[in-house]
This record gives sequence, C-alpha cells and structure tokens, in this order.
Amino acid sequence: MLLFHSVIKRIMKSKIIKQILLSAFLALTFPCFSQEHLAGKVVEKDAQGKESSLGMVGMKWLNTAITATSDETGSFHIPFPESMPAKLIVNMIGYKSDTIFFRDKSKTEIKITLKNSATTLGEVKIVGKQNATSNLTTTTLNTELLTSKELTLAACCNLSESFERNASVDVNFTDAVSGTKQIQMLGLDGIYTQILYENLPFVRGLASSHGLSYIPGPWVENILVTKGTGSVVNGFESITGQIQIEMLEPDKADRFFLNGYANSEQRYELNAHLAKRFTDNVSTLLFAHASQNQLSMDRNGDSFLDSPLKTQYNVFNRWHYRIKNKAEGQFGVRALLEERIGGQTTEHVHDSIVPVPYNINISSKQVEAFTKNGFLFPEKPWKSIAITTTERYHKQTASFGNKKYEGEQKSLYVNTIWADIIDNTFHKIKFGGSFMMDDYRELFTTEIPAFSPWPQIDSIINNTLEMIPGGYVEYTFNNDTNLSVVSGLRADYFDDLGLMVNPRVHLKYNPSKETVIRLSGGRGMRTSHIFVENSSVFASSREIIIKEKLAPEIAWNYGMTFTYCFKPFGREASWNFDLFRTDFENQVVVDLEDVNKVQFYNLKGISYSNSFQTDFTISPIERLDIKLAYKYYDVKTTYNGKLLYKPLVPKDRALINIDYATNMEKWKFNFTAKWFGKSRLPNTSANAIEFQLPEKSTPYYTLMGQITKKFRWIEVYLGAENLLDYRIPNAIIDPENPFGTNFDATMIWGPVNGRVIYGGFRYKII
Amino acid sequence: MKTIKIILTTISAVILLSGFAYAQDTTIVIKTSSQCEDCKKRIENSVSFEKGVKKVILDVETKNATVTYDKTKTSPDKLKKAIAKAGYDADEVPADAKAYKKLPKCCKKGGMETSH
Repeated sequence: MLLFHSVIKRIMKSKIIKQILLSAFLALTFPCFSQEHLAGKVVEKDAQGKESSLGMVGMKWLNTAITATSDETGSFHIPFPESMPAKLIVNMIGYKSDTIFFRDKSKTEIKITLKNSATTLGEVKIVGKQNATSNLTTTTLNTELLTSKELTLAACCNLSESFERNASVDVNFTDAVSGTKQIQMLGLDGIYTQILYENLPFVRGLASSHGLSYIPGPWVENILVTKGTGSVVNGFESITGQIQIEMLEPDKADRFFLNGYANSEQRYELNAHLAKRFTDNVSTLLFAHASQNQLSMDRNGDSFLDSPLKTQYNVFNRWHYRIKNKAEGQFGVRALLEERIGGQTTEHVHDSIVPVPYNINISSKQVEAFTKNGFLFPEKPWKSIAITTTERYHKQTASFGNKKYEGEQKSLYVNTIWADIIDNTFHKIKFGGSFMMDDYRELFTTEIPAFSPWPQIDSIINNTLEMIPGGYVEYTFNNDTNLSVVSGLRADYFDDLGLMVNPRVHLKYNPSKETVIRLSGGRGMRTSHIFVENSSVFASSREIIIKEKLAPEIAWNYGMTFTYCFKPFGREASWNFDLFRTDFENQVVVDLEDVNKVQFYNLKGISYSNSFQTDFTISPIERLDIKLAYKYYDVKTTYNGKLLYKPLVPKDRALINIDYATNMEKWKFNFTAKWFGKSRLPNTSANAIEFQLPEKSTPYYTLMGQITKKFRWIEVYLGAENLLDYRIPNAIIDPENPFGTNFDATMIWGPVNGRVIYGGFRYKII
Repeated sequence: MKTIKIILTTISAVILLSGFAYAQDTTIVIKTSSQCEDCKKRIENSVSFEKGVKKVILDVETKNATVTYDKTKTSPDKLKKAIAKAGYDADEVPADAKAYKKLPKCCKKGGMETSH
C-alpha cells in the first residue's frame, strides 16, 4: 500500500503526467477541444546575451481557459484553441509579459524570450510602494488613487483636508471648539476605516482623534482609497475601507523642497524636505514641518474661539537601502508635538456665571520608529519575504473645562509577508504572521464645576494590555485578461474573544474592455478606545456613562461597484456606481439621545449602513475635467431598543469638481462645490425651549477654489475655502453657561469656520 | 435639432481656427535618454519653460520628445540644450554631466533594467 502510494506520488510529481492530466481535464471541459498542440521553450537573455531556460512561466490563450506552465527546462506544451487567429499571453513576475500572435496552427514549435522588467521585483512592492502610474482599473480591489498632484489642488495642510475634493471620503468637524476634523466612509466614522502608512498601522489607538493631522500634505506622494473591506495582509481592522498613505521616497524625491502657506486666520505653515542619495543604493530623506494658528477669532460672538490656537512641530527621517538582488529595506523615525488651546478666552467671557473661563487644552506627543526589510530571490523573481515593524509611543492629554483626560499608548507591531506562486504566476499566494501589542494607560476625571479648587467627583481608569497574535493567507488568481480574484483568510487571537477568523474576498471581472465589475465581501473587527475616539463629547455637559464592559467591534461589509468608460463625441468619460452594506455584529454604540448623557454600550439589536454612490467624469475639451457625484447614505443603529438614523450624517450629498489647466499646465484652475442634505439631530426635547435644536439640520452647500501658477522652479497658489462663508447657526448650545447642564458644542453638522483665504508657494530643486 | 447643429458647427469652427493658430508652429521629434515616468516629468518641465515652446510630450516607451515650438523664438538646438541641461541626451547633444549625476537611480541609463 505504501509502495503504491509513493509510486502514485512520483507519477503525480512528473510534469508530463501533470500536463496529460491537464489536457485531459481541458478535453473534458471543452467539448470542442482541438488536438493540435504548440510546443516550445521559454528562455531569458542576460546582459551578455547568454540564454538560460525559464521554468514556471505561465501562459494562456487570450479569451480562452487554456493554460500551461513551462517546466524546469523551460519546455512547455499547450493545445491550440479552437478558433484561430489567437494570441498567446506569456506571463512571469519580474519579466515583461509577452503576447504572441498566431495566424493559424501551422507553426507548432516556438522559442519565447522574456525580458527582465525592472530592478525592483514585482512583489517587493510589499515593502516599497505601488506604482504611482498604475491604472487602477486593473486592481482587483476597488481602489482610487489620489496623487500628490491632486493633493496640491486644495489647501491640503494635512491629511484630514486632503479628502475635501474627494467624493468617497467625507471630512467633518467633530465639535465646535477643538478644530478637529475627522473622516467618514460609507457614512460611518473614520475609526472603521483602516488608515495605513505604507502597509504599517498609522491612525489607530490614541491617535484616532487627531492622527490625520499628523501628516502634512506636502509629505504625501499618493493616497490609495479602497472602499469596502481591505486586504487581510494588513490586519483585521479594515471594515468600511482602507486608506493607504504613501509618502515621498528618498531615492526618488526632489532634492530640496520648501512650501510656505498662510491664511486669513493667521495660520502659518512651513514644510521642507531634503533628499540625499549617497550612492545608488543608499539614500535618505528628511522632512520637517512647523505650523501655527495665532489668531483668536470669535466671529459668531459666542465667547468661544471659532478654531483653537494650534502649534505643531513634526520631523521625519527615512532611509532606503538596497543590496543588489538580495535585499531592500527602509527604516525611519518620526516625532511630533502638537498643542491646541481653545475655548473661552478671558477677554471673551462676558457675563458668565462662573468666575473661570471654559478652557480647552489638547496636547499630543508621538515618537515612532519603523523598519521594513524585504529579501529577494534573484533566481525566483516571484518570491520574496518581508518583515515590517513599528514601535510607537503616544501621549495625549486633553482638558475640556472640568473634564480632564490623560492617555498613554505604547505599541509594537510586527508583520511578515511571504509572497510566492502556486505552479505559475496566474496563481499567487501571500501568507505570514503578525503580532500586535498595545499598552494603554488612560485616566479620565470630571470635576465639580463650582469653585476652585475643584474636588474630584468622578474618575475612570482604563489600563489595558492588548496582545494579538495572528496569521493570514491570501490567494490571488489572475487570468491576465478579464478575471481576478483575491481571497484572504486571517485568524487572530483575542484575550477575551479567543480565536477570531475573518474571511475576505474580492473579485474583479471585465465583461468588456470598457466595463469593470467588482464585488467584495468580508469581515473586520477592532477594539474601541472611547475616550479618544469620542473626545469631542467632552465639549458638552453630558455625563459620561459606560454601561458595561465594551467588547471588540465586529462588522461585515459587502460591496459592488460598476465602472463604465466610454467616449462620447470622442472625449474620455467614465461612469461609476457602487453599493455598499455594512452590518455590525457588535458595535460600541455612542448614544447621545439623552441630552444629559453620553452612553456607551454594546450593540443590542441591529446596526447597519447602506451606501450608494454614483459619479460621472468627463473631459469635454482638452485639459478640462468635470466630475459630478451623488451619494446616498442610510445609516441606522439601535439606540436603547429604538432603531434610529445615525445623527449628524446627511442622507444625501452631491459634489462637483471642475478643473482646468492651460497648455503645459502653467496655470491651473480648480473649483469644487459640495451640497449636503438634511441630517437627523440628536433629541434635545428635554432641554428648555431656547436650548432645543430642530429635529433635522438644514441643507447647505459650500464652494472652494484655487488658482495655481507654475514657474520653472516655483509654484504659487491662491485659494479660498468656504467661499460663501456659510456657518451653522448656534454651533454651541448655551455657550453662556459652559459649566451648566445645557452646554453642548458637539451638535455639528456643517462648517464652524467661515471663509478662509489662503496662499502659498512650493519651491523645489529636482 | 437645429440648435445642436449650430452648436456643433461653432465648436468645430473654434477647433479648426485654433488649429490654424498653431499652423505657424513647427514640430520636432528629439530622441532622449529618458528611462521612466519620472524622467518624462523632468524633461517636459524643463522644455515647457523654454521660450516659444507650445507643447511638449515625451513618450516613455520610445524615449522621443515631441516638441511644438514657434521658430521665430527658439531653435532645435536650444531645445536639445534644454534637455541636456536636465541631465539627458538629446539626439547628438550629450547630457550635462553634472545634471546627470544628480538624477535618481531609476533615471540613469540602464536604471530600469536588471544587471544580472
């Protein structure tokens, strides 16, 4: 029996048998299968012109299911397709794909020579970055690319503002006093979107509330926005989407860059970076950022600053090295210091019943180090091993009047990625293990808002140590013509939940050259940190109530997108629509329905988000691009047994982008208009009549625009945000009594700041 | 229907006229030593700020820069020198050595090929 087994095994191992089996299989599957074959050899030529055979090369007849793989000697054997002429696609990672045209079946033998495609091998992208010019209609995931060029078209002071012109990601103020902007995707808070920096965890934990302001816009090379569930390679955290930030790279960046910015709110900003290439294989890039907001402004006369005074210093140094054909890696360190001071200033307090002004003080400190190393196998270009690590320390203190928060987080993240192929390059596989450690120390205190010294009345201590080991495997099938599938599975061990398995699948199908259909589905989860994620509710008199031990949040996300590219009147145009549904298994519900409380509890009942988006892009004349987008959100959560719309999320929104550039882009004109429909406001009926809010917000629209002029070495720009100076009425409820029971600065459904005029320059030495 | 016809005629007239405006210009194709998308950016930027240049497109695949220019304001020689100054060969004009040295690795000759 054992002998029989080993014989069978040996037979199975033999390539010829494999091919016979494959042919037999093909013959069975395709009744009109022809018996004629094409045989040949695949070789590569080195610099000296010496030939060597190439094994494991995948090939396939275009528009058929007939495939073959070359063996160790480079030989292959593939049946001809039924209909001729036909094209044979030859594909191998690290080599340029080749397409060979066959008029008929007369030629039955062929030698195929493949050329090496690049120094950095395809799969090493996991440690490097994706090709900036990659056409995203080719990615399996529904990913949108925002290039640095796009980011310069608006006053992108930092990441949170870089989505102002984007239709898929929404940017909102969280409250009327802290100047914090957060993103939303599919109508759900940014915490459900995994924000990564070149495949490393970035905005998470204590950095969730202000993390997006920790990366200045000019540092960014590309932003990749994936709607719907993300890849399992980067962890379990992506639910509504994944935002991947790619920063400038030492071996490619301009040698010197300087950006200065100033606006009508007296925000001043300087960004500089310096790249040094020591040899072709060692390079470094140093980034520096300093900014200040120094104008105390209270245009609506509510005694609170419209936006806080801010100071930020931020430095980042990254290195890149390459050991030819062996390894490639990066490492870097980043440090950040941010201070925000807002609230009531002494000169603005008029008849407050308390002798003390309501102060807001938020300070963040962050230090981070990362490493990314990839090992290559020159004789097997499809194979690579990568190890990435991030170590981070974050300290956050915040005081909102009588509420004080102090938090500390130490994190360690390690991930390994092993990339290989199964049989041929149509089948790729990635697998690896990860380890995540977060040590949180949090202290929250509320003091009696009467007379100083205020005795403490309440304090919540939250010290947690999360250690989550995990592993994943991701298989990618790509037939190189019209179908690709990425299916991933990961398992992570949580202390309180045990082993959690999260599957994710993405599929892309091109029924025709002009049409792309994508489907995605999968599960994601995250642990919540309510104090920082909801720090804006501190800016209210609401009592903070944590009803129970909060469990990790778990949700399923399903999506479907459809893209159609066409050429009306010979001009390029595309139409896109997508549908996404997110279903929570568990959610940490933030309940604002009682005016005196904010309650946190685990979801009991259902919670979902349905999102529909459609957009149309056309370039009616050369260098003029117009984009129209419409979005509909239906987001509901069970609050204390009642299924209600998520507050402050407008159901409908629309966006128009109009961009025009003159010949050779010497002048650029960009214009964006956004419209927001009604959103539900939390119930305030228990308040005295003068402190009640309407049930719904009023629809409004905002305009923004920018003009850029390019000279040989310098670019200057001038623009305006919120051109119509729209501000929501009564941004703060009862601002006269910030320590009273009605005070609330969190009911924000629109702009708090008015019109902002800004200007700046970008100088570079390439 | 009639209005559409009028609009279409007007549009085509405008396009034709703008074509005539360029009819005075000359187009030249210059072979460069460009290697990648980054080079394209560098060469196009450098040439576009030369006096008299109306249009410049570099084809990464063929390494050819197609330049449309006003011949009363510049000459093929000046255009090639502009490309050379950016660190790239332009037909018979060799790249400026200093500028070439400062190019990133991917932009140097052979930077996009492997050296097995």
